[in-house]
Amino acid sequence: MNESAKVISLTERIAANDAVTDHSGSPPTGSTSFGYLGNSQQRDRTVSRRLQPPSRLDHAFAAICATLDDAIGEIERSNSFDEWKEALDQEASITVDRSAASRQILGILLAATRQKDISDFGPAALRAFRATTNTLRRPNAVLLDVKTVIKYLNTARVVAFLPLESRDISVAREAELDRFLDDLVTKHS
Amino acid sequence: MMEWWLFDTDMLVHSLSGDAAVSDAVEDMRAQNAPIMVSAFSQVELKGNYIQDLLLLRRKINDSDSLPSCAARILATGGRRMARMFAQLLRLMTEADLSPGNWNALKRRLVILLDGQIPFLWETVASRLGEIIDDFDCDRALEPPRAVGQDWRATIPECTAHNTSCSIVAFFKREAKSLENLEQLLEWLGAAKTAELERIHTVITRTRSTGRYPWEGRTCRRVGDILIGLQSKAGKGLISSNKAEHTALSAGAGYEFREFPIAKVRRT
Repeated sequence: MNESAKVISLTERIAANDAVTDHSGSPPTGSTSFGYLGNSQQRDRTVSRRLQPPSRLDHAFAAICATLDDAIGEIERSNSFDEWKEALDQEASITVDRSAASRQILGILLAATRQKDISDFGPAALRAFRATTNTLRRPNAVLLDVKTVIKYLNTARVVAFLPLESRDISVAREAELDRFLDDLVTKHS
Repeated sequence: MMEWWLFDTDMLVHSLSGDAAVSDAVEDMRAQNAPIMVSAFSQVELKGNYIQDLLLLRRKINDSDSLPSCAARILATGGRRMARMFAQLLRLMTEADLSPGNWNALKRRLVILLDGQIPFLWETVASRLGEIIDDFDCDRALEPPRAVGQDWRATIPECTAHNTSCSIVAFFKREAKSLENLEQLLEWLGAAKTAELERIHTVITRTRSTGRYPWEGRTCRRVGDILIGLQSKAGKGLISSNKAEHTALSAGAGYEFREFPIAKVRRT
């Protein structure tokens, strides 16, 4: 099965699963493989995959894999990239008991891809995103995983800084912000 | 003398500016003066300033159940820091691209974005600008911010005999002549010294009178400017926007100072 067909069938299965379950999940029919996770975890994960519906991050992983599939067209690959981003956005918006390392990796990916589409990234960056998403799928990402992810992204020249330095704001802007802040607090107190 | 210029810590921070004119100007400065080095001690200063600010903002966001409540916590900060923090919150909200009406979802996104920034900054911001130079094997530069459960720890401990094995004392001993010249200049400046220069003067005087740099506690963080300035002597010099201190320090300690004209960059 090629990657795009995998994405489509995965999407259908998630939709079907969501429609009939209360998200505690009854297993989908048939098993599904999501490619590499990492060594000893893969065997355990493949077994547990047969018992659990695919997660949002599994969907994200399939989508980012599709962006590297030469067999599918540019528009489909672009759509897959957008699906991947959306899956990450949804993952960030829900309340999940996530490890510190997982939060960090997710935060890095969100920062790296904000306001960007597939045309902003070359194959090396997409491969780095794929590897990073794979890491994110692991149940217990650790600090070393965060460092490894940063290394992948730096090697692929992916920038994940947010321009948050604000010491350079002008006096006029500072006064404007003071008023806005005051207003916001006063109106709602 | 090696062929590199040393970027001061403020250049790392300017490279993260929300004002594209500033961050672009840093990149131009880097390209025009390559190769660039960055002091390992800048990691410590970054952790103590910029990263601490982000973590404080993160705490205020995480502790708030609405945007007005978050704004009230920021207002309580007071002073210039309040406006800067609010500017950071607004920029972060723009990056998060979610409606402020949906605060819980927005809050989760903002916290996750900040959680990603902390390790990325620590691991990357210095090394992406240049090679790291660590003349005195700073122990504090090896201590990244740590995630502890749902929170972070980024305090910089005082240097003690139990947690410090750096060679800062030997570093300052090698610069004895520079310190002698600098002390004379600072004496001459008298009351015209800035608060930072005053602190540096006190430490240099004590170093020279006792024959030993007083490294214990937070001394290095108080005199970071001269510490990094002296490191630049092994290369061509120091690039910094901090004209007020480095004009005097470079003249006294004998290093080249090239100004990054931040005021001019912001105006253009």
